[in-house]
Amino acid sequence: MENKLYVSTLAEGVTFRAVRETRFKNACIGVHFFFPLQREYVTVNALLTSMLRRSCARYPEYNELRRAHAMLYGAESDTSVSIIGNCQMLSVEIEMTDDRFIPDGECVSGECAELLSELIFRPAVGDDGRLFRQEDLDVVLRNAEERIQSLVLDKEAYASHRCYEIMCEGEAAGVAPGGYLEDLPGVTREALAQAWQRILTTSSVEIITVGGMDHAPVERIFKKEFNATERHPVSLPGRPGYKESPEVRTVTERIDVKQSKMIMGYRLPVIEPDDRTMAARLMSLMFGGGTSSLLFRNVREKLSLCYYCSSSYGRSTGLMFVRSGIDETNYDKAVEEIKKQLAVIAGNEFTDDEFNAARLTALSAFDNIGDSVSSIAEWYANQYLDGCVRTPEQAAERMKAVTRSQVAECASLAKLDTVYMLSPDRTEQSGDLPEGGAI
Amino acid sequence: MTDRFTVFHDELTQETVYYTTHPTGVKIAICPKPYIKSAYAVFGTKYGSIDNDFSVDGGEFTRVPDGIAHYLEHKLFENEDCEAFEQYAQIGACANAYTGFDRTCYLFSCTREFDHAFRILLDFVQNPFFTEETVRKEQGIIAQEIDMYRDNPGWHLYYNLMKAMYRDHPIRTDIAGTAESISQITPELLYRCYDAFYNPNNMVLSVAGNVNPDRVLELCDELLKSKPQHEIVSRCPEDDGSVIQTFTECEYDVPMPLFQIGFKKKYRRLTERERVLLGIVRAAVFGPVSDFYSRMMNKKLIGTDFAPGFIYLRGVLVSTFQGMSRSPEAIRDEIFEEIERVKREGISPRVFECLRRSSYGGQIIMYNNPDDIAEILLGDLMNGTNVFEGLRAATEITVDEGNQLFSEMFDISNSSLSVVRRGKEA
Repeated sequence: MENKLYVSTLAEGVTFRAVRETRFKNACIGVHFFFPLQREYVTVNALLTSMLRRSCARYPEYNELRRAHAMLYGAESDTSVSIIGNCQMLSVEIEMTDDRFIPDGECVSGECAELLSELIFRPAVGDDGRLFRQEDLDVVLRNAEERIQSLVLDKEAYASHRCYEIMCEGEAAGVAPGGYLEDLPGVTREALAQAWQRILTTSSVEIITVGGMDHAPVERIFKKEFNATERHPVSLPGRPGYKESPEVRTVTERIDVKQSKMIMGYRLPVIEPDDRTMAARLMSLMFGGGTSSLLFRNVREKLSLCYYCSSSYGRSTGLMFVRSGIDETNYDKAVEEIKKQLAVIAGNEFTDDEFNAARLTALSAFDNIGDSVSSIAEWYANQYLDGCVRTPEQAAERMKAVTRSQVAECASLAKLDTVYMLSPDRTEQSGDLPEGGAI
Repeated sequence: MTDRFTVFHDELTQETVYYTTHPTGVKIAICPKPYIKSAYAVFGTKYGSIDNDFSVDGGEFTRVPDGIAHYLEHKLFENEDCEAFEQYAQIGACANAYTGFDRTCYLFSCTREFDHAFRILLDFVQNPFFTEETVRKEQGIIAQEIDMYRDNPGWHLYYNLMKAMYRDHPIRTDIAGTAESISQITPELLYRCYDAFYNPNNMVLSVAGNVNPDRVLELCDELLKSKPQHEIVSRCPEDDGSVIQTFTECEYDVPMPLFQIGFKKKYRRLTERERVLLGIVRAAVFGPVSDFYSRMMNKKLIGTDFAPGFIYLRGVLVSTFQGMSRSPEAIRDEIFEEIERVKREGISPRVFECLRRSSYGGQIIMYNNPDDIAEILLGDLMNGTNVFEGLRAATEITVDEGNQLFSEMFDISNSSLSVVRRGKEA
C-alpha cells in the first residue's frame, strides 16, 4: 500500500496524507484534531462537534446545509470526538461518491473539500456579528440533553458506560467523550468560540484523503486555510500508566430490566507503545472475540448461560472488558466460567486449533482493512498517536510473529478490577433511573 | 461452463452479475470483485417468522409455534459431529445467520479459503440434526435473546404499532417468539418445517467479492442436493387494508415518550422504481432537507432521532415515522397537516432534485462492499426484482411521479400512533 501513499506537511503540526484508491465507488476526506484531554472542556468540545455539523456561514440554515450535501450526490459529512489514551481526537469528515461515477463529468471531490473547509473554518455568525448562532446552540443543547438522558434506553451501552465511570474514576478512560449533563449550562456561544479557537490553534492535525480523486486541490484548500490560521501546537501527553487496584470491586445497580448486563473490567500493564500489545489483542480475540472464542463456545454454547459473551481490549488504555447478558441467578456460574477460560489461556492450556483460529481471525481483520475507504482512513487516523505509521500488511506480519507463550503471558497479566451488574429491580416496580449520567 | 450463466453488466456501477438457476432449483447470483481480498456468501430460504401456518402439496395446514423459524436457524448450526461455528473458526472465516419475517439466511465472509468456507455453508444448511437434548439446550440461549429484545422499549413500540394496524397478520408477533411458545418446539416440528421450506426450489444463493463464478458453480454442482419439488402454501390471513386502532400506548421507564406512527396501505407489490421513488419522496417531505423537519425541530417536537421509515413484506405495506417527542399527539397532527399540504401544493421540485441526486449517489455506493452487494442480490432473487432498475430510475424519475405516489401512500384516515411513555408511578 506504501506506493499509493502521499504525505506532506501543510503547516506547523499539520500533516496531509493521501491514499490513492480506485477500487471503490466512494471517497473520503477527514480532518482530525489531536489535543490533550482536559475534563473541563469535554462537554464544550462535544457540543462544538454538533455545532460544526449543524450549520456554517455559507449555509446557516440546517436544511439548506443538508440540501447542499444532497446536491453533491448525497455527500455525508460527520463530526465526532473521542478519547484515545490521554488525548482527545476531534474529527470532521466527509464521504462522497467517487468522481468517476458522477454523471456528466462533474467533480464533486473538490466541492466536498471546500464544503468541509467551510464547516471547519467558517462557523455560522449571529446577528450580533459574533461566532455561532444562539438558535443553533439552543437546538444543540436540547439534543445533547435528550441524548445523554436517553442513554439508558440502550441497556448494553449504558452498563458499559457505568462500568467505565466506576472503574476508571479520575482517569482519562473514565471520562465521557459525549459530555456531562451538569456542564451543559456552561456551554455558551463564547465558550464554543474559545474551544473552536483553542482546537484550531493548539491541536496537532492529520488530514487524510482516500479515493480516486486528484488530491492536489484538496491539499491546496487546506494548506491555504491552515496557513491563514494562528498555529501553536502543544505537545501531546503520553499514554496513561498502569494502575493496579488492591481488590476486586463488585457493583450492582438496579433498574427496570428483564435481563442482567454483566461487565467484568480487567487491567493489563500492556499499553502502547509496549511491544506486547499485538499479543494482548490476540489474547482477547481468543478469549472472547467472536464465535470461535473460548467465551462464546463455553459460556454460551456449552453452558447456555447467555446469548452473547465477548471481550474487547484497548491498546491505548490496557483495559479489557468482558460483556454478557445473563439471568441474574446465573451470576456466579458465569463469573466462574469466564475466570476459568482466562486461566486456560494464562496456563498455556489452549489448543493449537484455538490459537490458530484466533490468529486467522486477526489476520482476516487486517486483510479487510484494505477493502473499504472508511476502514483505510480510520486505520491511519487511529495510528496518529503511535508515532509510527504501519500499513495493515506490516501489522499483519507483526501479528503472525506472536507466539503461544506471549499470549499466555498477556492473559496472566490481566487483573480483574471491577465486576459491574445492571440488574432487574427487585421490587417488581419500575424504579427510578439514576439521575444525571453522561455518555 | 460460463454459458450456464446469464451475464448482466450494469453500465452505471460497472458491475457484472452472473445469474443462473441450478439444476436442483436453487437460484444463484454472483458478483465477482477480483481486486479486493474479501468474499461474502449468503444461502437463504424464503421462510421466516410469518410462515407459521402452511401446507405442503395440498395436505392439511400445520400451525407451528411462534418463533420456530428462528429456533431452526439456531439449531441448524449444529451438525451431528461438529458445530459449523467451530469449522469456520478453523479457517478464520466469520459466520452468522439471521431470521426475518419472510426469510432465513446463513452467511459467511472470509479473506482466504473461500472454497473451504463455502463447503461448510452448503454442508450444514443441507444437513439438519435435531435431538431432544440439543433442542432443549437452545432454550436457555434463546430465552436470554428474547429477554434482551424486551428490554428495548423500541421493541414494544414497534410490536404495539403492528398490533394496532393488523388484526391477524403474523407480523404482530416477535420473530423470536415467546418463552412459552418456544417451549413447545420439538425435533419433529423442526424437521417438518425444515422439510417444507429448506427445499432447493425455495432457496437462493448469492456470492460477491473475490470469487470466480465458474468455481462457485462447480462447488454448487458438487454440493447442492436435489429434492423433489413440492408446492408450499403459507397461509396469510386476509386483510382489508384498514387499521384496527388509531392509538395504542404502553408504559415503560423512558426519559421522554417514544412514538411510532404508521400509515397503512392495502398490500400490493411495488416496482423497484416505486421503492426508490418512495424513499426520495419520504426524505424530501420529512427528512433533514425538508422545511417540515426544521420547523418541528424549532417547535421542539422532534429530536435528531426523528426518522421516516418503511415496512414492506408479503401482506404488509406501511410508511412509518419514529422518534422521541414530549408530545407524540402534536407531532402526529403536524404530520397529518403536512401530508394534506403536500397533497394540495406538491413536493418542492428543487428539494426533489436534491434527493434524486442523493439517491443516485447513495445507491452507487451500495455496490462497494461484498456484504452489501450479496445481500442486495439475495433480496432480488427472493422477490423476483432487479435492483439495478432502481438505480436507473434515480436518473430519470420526476417530481410528478413523486407527487402521485405520495398521495397514494399517505392516507391520514388510515394511520395508527404507538406511544411508549413513562409510567405514572415513576
